[in-house]
Amino acid sequence: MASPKVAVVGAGVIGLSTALCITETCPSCSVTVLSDQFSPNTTSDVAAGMLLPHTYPDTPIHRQKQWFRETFTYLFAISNSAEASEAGIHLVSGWQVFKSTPKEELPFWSDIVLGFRPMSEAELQKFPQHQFGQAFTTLKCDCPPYLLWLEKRLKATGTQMYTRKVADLWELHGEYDIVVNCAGMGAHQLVGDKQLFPVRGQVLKAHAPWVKHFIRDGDGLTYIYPGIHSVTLGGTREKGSWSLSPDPGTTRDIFDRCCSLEPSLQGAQDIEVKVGLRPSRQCVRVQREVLSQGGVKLPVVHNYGHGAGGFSVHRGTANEAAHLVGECISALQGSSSKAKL
Amino acid sequence: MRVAIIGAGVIGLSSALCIHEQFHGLVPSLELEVYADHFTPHTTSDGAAGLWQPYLSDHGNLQETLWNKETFDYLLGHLHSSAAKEMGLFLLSGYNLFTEPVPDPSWKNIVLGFRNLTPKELELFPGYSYGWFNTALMLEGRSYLPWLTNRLTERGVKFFHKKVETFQELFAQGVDVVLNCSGMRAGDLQPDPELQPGRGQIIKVLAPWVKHFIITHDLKSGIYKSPYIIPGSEFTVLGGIYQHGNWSEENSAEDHKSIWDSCCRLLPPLQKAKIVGEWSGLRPARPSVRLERESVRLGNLQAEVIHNYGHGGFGITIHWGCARAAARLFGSILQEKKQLARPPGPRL
Repeated sequence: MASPKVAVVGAGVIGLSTALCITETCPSCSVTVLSDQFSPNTTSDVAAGMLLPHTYPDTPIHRQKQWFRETFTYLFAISNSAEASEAGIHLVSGWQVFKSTPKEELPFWSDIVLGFRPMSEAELQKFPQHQFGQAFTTLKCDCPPYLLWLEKRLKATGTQMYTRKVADLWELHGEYDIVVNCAGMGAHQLVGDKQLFPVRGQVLKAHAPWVKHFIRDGDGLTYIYPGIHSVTLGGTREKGSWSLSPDPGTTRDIFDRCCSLEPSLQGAQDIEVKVGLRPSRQCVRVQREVLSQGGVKLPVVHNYGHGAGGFSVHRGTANEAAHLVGECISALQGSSSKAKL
Repeated sequence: MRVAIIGAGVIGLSSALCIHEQFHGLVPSLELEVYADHFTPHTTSDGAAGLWQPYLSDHGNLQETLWNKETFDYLLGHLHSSAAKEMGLFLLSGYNLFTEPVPDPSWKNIVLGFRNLTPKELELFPGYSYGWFNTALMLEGRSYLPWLTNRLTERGVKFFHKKVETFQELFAQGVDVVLNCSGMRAGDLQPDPELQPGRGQIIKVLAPWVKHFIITHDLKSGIYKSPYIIPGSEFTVLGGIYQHGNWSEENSAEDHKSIWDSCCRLLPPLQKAKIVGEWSGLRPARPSVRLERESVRLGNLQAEVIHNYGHGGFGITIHWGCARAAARLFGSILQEKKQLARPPGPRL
């Protein structure tokens, strides 16, 4: 197989980073990205892009840690280069605070982020309703910049990108040798995965450039993430809700909760409301599959179901998916040489 | 009781506010007047980045360390007030970098979360092998000075755009006490060879992805001669110039290049930052802050001057502690005047 044709379905952070990894590990591949949405209209564009892992109940911790470590290392290098501002990647320090001391005081990722330590009494005074906290420095990927930067890197490798709604993976058979499914929430319909469910998140993006630290309540519901041009205020975790319409009552509630953590936000300006559906699953599906229909085979690599943790593990899962694409290519080359006998 | 404050930088305005807050209730006749040749945004305080951070060593000057602490605690107390944004006050964390281990600074327990840098953090800064991380405060002069001015105006304090040439001219007008907060120009009012300019130059850039201050130190060269990067609420300040004895307030192309090259080396993403301004200012440097009373005899009158100048590159850092100390000196003047005001009675 001289030049395997690979189609990547989905152009959020997972689709674009997976496509990029494939061009890196398989330079002879011809990669095409197909998506009904591109930045700034993907789920990734709504997310703050903080490197703060979500724990998947059914993925082994060592695997999640490996994904996070690879992602952090990759972005850390870019954050200190001349490309950082274009890529939207920057370091940010702050605090995760808990109303009552959590069972797990040291999360699995505490040795990957920078300077992780418990907060001092003096630091906790800033959060009178919270008993315990962790201070650390992590990375943030601002979108759209990060997605646009990935698109630019892809175009430089000759990757084509098309706006196209793929209703069925079999549509792509014939045109492409391997299909990579990074459809995020779209995988629910695209491959009929009933284990995939939306967790609706509403956020506000506000202009408050004096806010230089992140603040996250350990319950995961209230958070303040300062980006390059705006601060993301969140949020909600509404399991099973498919609604993409902003709710005004929720907006008020998010704003109030964030102001109680950071009173100076009362002076925030230019507030925009956004909604995204976290494509959630008990474990991220990074897996090879060979679809079969009427004697015809279609190799598929799945990379979806990252829920609340997409940015945190994106590069790690992209690497794994690219590796699986490599396996698909080997299998195709093996079977094509068998066919020659 | 007329009190004239010379100087409308952070020292003059905060001293005025402190005195008015403490004494206007006790002294009904108290009238405060601020005289200055420059007001915000044209004062030295307006050019400073606004980061609360004392010098590395207090040189045994414990008094100054206490004033620094008083200022930090005072500002921290205002952090959650509705005035914080208007004051230009917010928390900022960041890095102090060294090429060799150094002793902890006098202010390690004043700031929040002070700790040494981890090896992974030091990877960000090739050439530096040791450092600190801590959370401090920013108090931007461009916001703080107008806020102080508003508070003073509300209290009926009057402002005069006038360069005062001598203390005498104010006393001749009927002023009872003069607060000398004239910063760099204190030498014009009364010669002080210990007061020297510590010239600084800064480049203002747009780099909103920078969320930490980064201050490098070259122990052999001295303070502020090594690159520093301080992100504010509207722009980021790049600096690293300290020229003792240089009175020039003109921007130097050589200094510009030095700042730009060294800061871009320190933080490569800055190469893409847009330059939006440049400024030079004179830090009013002195071996120690001059904060003391001086009685001036004018004929048969005793006039009082309270000096409060010479805060070098740490004016914002120390201002409130000094304002309160100046207010205490004012209080002692009031006490003495009351005693003097009691007419000597017949000795029975």
